[in-house]
Amino acid sequence: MLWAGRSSIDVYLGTRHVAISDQGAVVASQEVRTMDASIEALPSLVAESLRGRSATLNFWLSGKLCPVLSIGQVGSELSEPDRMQVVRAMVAKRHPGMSDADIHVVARAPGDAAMLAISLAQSTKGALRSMQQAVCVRGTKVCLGKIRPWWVLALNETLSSTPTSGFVSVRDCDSLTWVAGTDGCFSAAASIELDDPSGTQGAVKRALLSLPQSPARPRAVEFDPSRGRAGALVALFGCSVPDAPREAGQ
Amino acid sequence: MRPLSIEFDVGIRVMGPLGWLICGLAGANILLAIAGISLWARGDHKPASADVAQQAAVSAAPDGPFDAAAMQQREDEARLRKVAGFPWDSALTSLEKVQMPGVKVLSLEGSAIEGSINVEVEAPSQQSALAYIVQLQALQPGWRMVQIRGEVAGGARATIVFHHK
Repeated sequence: MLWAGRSSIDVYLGTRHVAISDQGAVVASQEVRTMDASIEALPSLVAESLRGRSATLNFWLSGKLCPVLSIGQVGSELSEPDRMQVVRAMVAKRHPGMSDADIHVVARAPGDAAMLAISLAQSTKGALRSMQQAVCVRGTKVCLGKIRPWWVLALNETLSSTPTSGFVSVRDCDSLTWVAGTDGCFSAAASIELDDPSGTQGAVKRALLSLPQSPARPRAVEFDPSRGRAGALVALFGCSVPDAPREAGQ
Repeated sequence: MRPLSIEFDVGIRVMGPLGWLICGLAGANILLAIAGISLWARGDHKPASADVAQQAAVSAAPDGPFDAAAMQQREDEARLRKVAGFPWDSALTSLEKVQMPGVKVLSLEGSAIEGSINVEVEAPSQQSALAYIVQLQALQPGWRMVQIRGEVAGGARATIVFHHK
């Protein structure tokens, strides 16, 4: 087939860390300080990882770049465009810089008007396109593939191992995202920017306290780059079930 | 809770059916334009000057063939051009712009074929009616007042007829 020669690689992108996984193995990982530094670091990392191969880049974004916001029932009498305008305003208020974001909404329960809004800023998409061009300038043909939040992957992996969990917190390089709910429904969710990883436990405790009921079997997933590439692989891309996730709130 | 599936696109969208339809129509237009240009280049199109010269020759010849159908077609085309070129917008705009105390436009009737506009006004005096006409003509130098019907002098209703030059 014509496209048989094009492989795909996974790229984790946060404002504190970038990493590249090729065929299930982390082949490059680098700590950074800002989003601009992440975008600057990626072209060389991608080019070195691909070594002239053409590839599709699938992106996994951190919770700061792709945050979730729990939104209550927005006027059911509103038309869909008006409802999205309200959602957009609420997202922009909670996450400054997301006023022009692409917003993906998920009903908290099937048929429910309450929703989770996951947003991605246009500036981030623009940065990814610029990065792609920078890689192409270096002689490596790449195209942009899927853009997904990494915390969704971590959440799905955790639910596959502990489906009855009522609370999952996911900490990645720059943020903490927690999701609560029961029986196929979501009761609340939030992404919190974390300047200091030591604030994780406090943020999880506050999230648990904010819930009306104590959730069953809370789980916490953490990305810890100090565990090395193998550990980063597990935590970054969820290629296997995270090992011994810590109990949240303890 | 349930597993989520969240995926954002990168802004490069695959065209939908409407996009393909628009592209198809645009392509057909381009092909037609190319066909027209190629026909013109082959000489099927006669230059306008040649057409005029031929028409002049036909008119000059006393016993030349008289093509009634062609003449009728030209007259129809001229009429159509006149109707299409009738300046409705500018006429209405001018009528809206002219504001004279006491002068009120009661009705407006226009004929693009005749090239005329009849404005029925109510004016309190002859002076104000004339001032209204002067202002209207100042805004529309292409119009010529041909007739005033009614009792303008007495302060009654009057119909002013303009012809488009």
